[in-house]
Amino acid sequence: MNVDKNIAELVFTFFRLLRKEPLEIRRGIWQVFLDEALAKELDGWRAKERLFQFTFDRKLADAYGAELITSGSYRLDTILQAVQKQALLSRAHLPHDRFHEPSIRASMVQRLSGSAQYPTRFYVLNLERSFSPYLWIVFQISRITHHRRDTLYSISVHLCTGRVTPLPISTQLFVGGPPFGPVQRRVLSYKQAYNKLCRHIGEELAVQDQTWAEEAHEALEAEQRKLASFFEGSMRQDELAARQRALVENYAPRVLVQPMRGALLYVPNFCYKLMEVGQTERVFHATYDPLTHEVTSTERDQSSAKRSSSS
Amino acid sequence: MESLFPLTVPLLSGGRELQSDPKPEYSEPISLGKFSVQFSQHGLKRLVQEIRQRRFDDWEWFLLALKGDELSLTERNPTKLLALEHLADLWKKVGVIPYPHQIKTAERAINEMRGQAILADEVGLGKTIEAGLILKEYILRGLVRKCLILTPASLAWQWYSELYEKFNIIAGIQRTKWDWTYSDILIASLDTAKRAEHASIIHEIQYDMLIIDEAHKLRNSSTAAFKFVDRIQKKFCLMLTATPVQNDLKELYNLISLLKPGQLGSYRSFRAKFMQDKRTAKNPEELRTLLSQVLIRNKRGEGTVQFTKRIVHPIVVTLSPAEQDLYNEITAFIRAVARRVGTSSNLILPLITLQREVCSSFFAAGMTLQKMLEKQLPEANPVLVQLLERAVQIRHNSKCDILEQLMATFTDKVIIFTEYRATQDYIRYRLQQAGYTTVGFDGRLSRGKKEWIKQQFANQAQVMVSTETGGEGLNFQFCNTIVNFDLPWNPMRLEQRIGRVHRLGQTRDVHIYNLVTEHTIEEHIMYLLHKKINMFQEIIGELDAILLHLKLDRSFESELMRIFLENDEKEEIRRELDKFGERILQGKQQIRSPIMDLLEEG
Repeated sequence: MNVDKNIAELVFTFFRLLRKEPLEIRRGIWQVFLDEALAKELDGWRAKERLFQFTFDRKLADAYGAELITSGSYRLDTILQAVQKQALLSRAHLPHDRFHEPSIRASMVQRLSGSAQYPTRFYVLNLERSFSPYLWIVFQISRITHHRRDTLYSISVHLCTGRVTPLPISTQLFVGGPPFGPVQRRVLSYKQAYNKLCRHIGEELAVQDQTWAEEAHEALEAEQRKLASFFEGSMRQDELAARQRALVENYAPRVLVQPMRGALLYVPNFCYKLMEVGQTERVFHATYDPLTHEVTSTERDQSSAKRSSSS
Repeated sequence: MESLFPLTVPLLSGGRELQSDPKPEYSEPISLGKFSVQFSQHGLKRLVQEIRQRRFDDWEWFLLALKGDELSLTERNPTKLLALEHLADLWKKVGVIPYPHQIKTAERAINEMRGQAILADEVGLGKTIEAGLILKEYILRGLVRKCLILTPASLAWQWYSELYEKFNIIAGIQRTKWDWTYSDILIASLDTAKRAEHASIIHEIQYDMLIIDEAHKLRNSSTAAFKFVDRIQKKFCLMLTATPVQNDLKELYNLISLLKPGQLGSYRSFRAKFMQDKRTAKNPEELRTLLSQVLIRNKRGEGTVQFTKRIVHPIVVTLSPAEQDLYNEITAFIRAVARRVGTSSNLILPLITLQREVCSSFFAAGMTLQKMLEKQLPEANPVLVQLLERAVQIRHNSKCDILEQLMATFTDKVIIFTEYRATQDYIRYRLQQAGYTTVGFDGRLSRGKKEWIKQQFANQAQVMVSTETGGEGLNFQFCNTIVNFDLPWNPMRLEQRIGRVHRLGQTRDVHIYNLVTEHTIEEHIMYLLHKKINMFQEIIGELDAILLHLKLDRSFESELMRIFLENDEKEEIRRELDKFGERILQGKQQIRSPIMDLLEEG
């Protein structure tokens, strides 16, 4: 991750979203007007409106007195704090026109033909455009021993099927707000969806590298042995037990999982009504999910649903 | 103008929101082999609640916030100390240059010692900086929220300002019982904290970090302070002391067991394995290895830091006959009263003050005479009135004349120290008349004003006239000349004066000008401080420990006063001062224990 480039991007987006365009008053130095609300947000309740000059270059900051925004700087911290307080919940949809429908259609027909046992042709009778609701949550996973290592982990769950999947599509392609079009009816409650995500994370953690925990565990055992040696032959066994408990509480390796922010995402479905012409004729529905590239086919009477192989 | 800033109510319990929540609700731990996992239930509740209330925010802000999350986590998983990057700008502003040994110490304490360490650097190497750096690092890593700093009461303010100025950590200084619970980072006096009514509250709190300054006071395990600290629940602990051990290996054992019980085993096993007698260690190599796991000691000069020189310039001032007469009369009056009431009387304190003031200026002495008169000392009234009248009549100040001459030789900034505000005002008046720009600095100023005056001095004024009370906690490394207009009687206060400019970060030799009036007590004080114990040129590192060891920490001035009162002749006074000086030097030797070698070579 190129931190410096990302920092600049974050700062300019921050001001842009506030409808404040920084003006480059000298090469590498920008100036922007901070109204009182924003000044207070960044510098506390005593701040007043002012012109704010900033740069990402330490030399320019020294030479011209502009505030330096760089990794670890006070100003970056205040901007990050302001930014991270915002938008903890949002919703967005992925419009159908982000996809080239004829390619999807061709690919699906090809896939269905490939899976048929004898020569068959498929005709598209109709296309319905709908959306599937997903709950997408970004979790902070903290591995805690005497150190703490935090990582972000984002994962989504289909609110109709309960399928848990990472989001393979760039969030930049999504458009804010609910979709214009039918949305599949949600089957899972949000609590169930959240629990599914937690279960999935638990399973993922269980199979990941556990060296960190093993090391912490060994260190903890060594501490416990030392403590036991301190109380050797002592009558103060209650105190020993209490201190052992405190050791475990403080140093036992553990993982805390907490949601940082979440979004309801509406992912488009391409639902085709098809006619199969071969040894027999039949009409059925096939749905293409662009998130997983799966095609789900359903008989007209809904009784003999069949799933084709996923790509 | 309408603000466009879309402030929203935080939804999930992430980041700061979680930190502000004292008890985030997590699910029961689920064991996954070597570790357990807990999921935030609190976050779930708020998530569902917010979706139900349809509090959806703008998608672009959401993406930006997400980028912010990523960026702050990139920052939080570093290979080196995060605090160094975070503090770079601040340190540049306030002129702090971290020394390699300080950074190394912080890294060792965090990475190797798991936040449990005794920082036992020699005096002047910046133990407070090291502790502040470690604290800041843990705060940035999200591992410390609640921290208690126990110090001697006199150092609480110094800790506050160091943390604020150098680490941007805003700590509270304990004043009420509520502070224990509600202040996240709290500085408190150990003596106050150990009192039963406070101790009961403190022992209920789970601290993320405990810092104990002057930890050598906890070497004795039978003291109330030791027992009090032993019961504090803490995850990380730093103990700061330049003298973790003095005469007895048991002291070392106690201190380390307080930090990490079991590091040296049980006392019985420690005695059998490591103690030949109480001052001699057995198996020193093994002991050293164990000590190095919890104790860091940096020494001056060994790749750490070289202080610049202190160059002392004694300036002898001869009083005018009128001044000398008045001085002699006031001294005679003090002796007469002191001999009558005895040196242990309460009345002796104003007399000591008067004797010291008369060496400073007659303005300062006049103020005290006035106050004494107002308090109606019945037996002294007629003489006092007479002395006061004489003091008021003196319009000439020989010391200030010399000071003006001296000032003409300086081209750089100067700090002039005096102990008395009356003298301070007079010096400023005289120097301003002579065309110098001056600022005054003393204990009456608020924190903000002190900072402002410091800036004024750095940028505009040539002279700062300061009383000691204003000196603590503020550093003036940009200046390298100090003038002691009068001499404090206590070497600790003298060291504090010099320490304002002669400290880490000073790049030039420091010039110390001492104005000493001939044929006064000041001559003797100068003899003791300069000739006998060489206060000016050497940093007597363990001075506080020496004075404590000799039980002189509170009675240094009284001891000097006793010598002056009990001896009339100059030679007698010198003899007594010689003995006194010897005691201090012996004390220095006594606290220098061979056991310390264990730490140093380790």
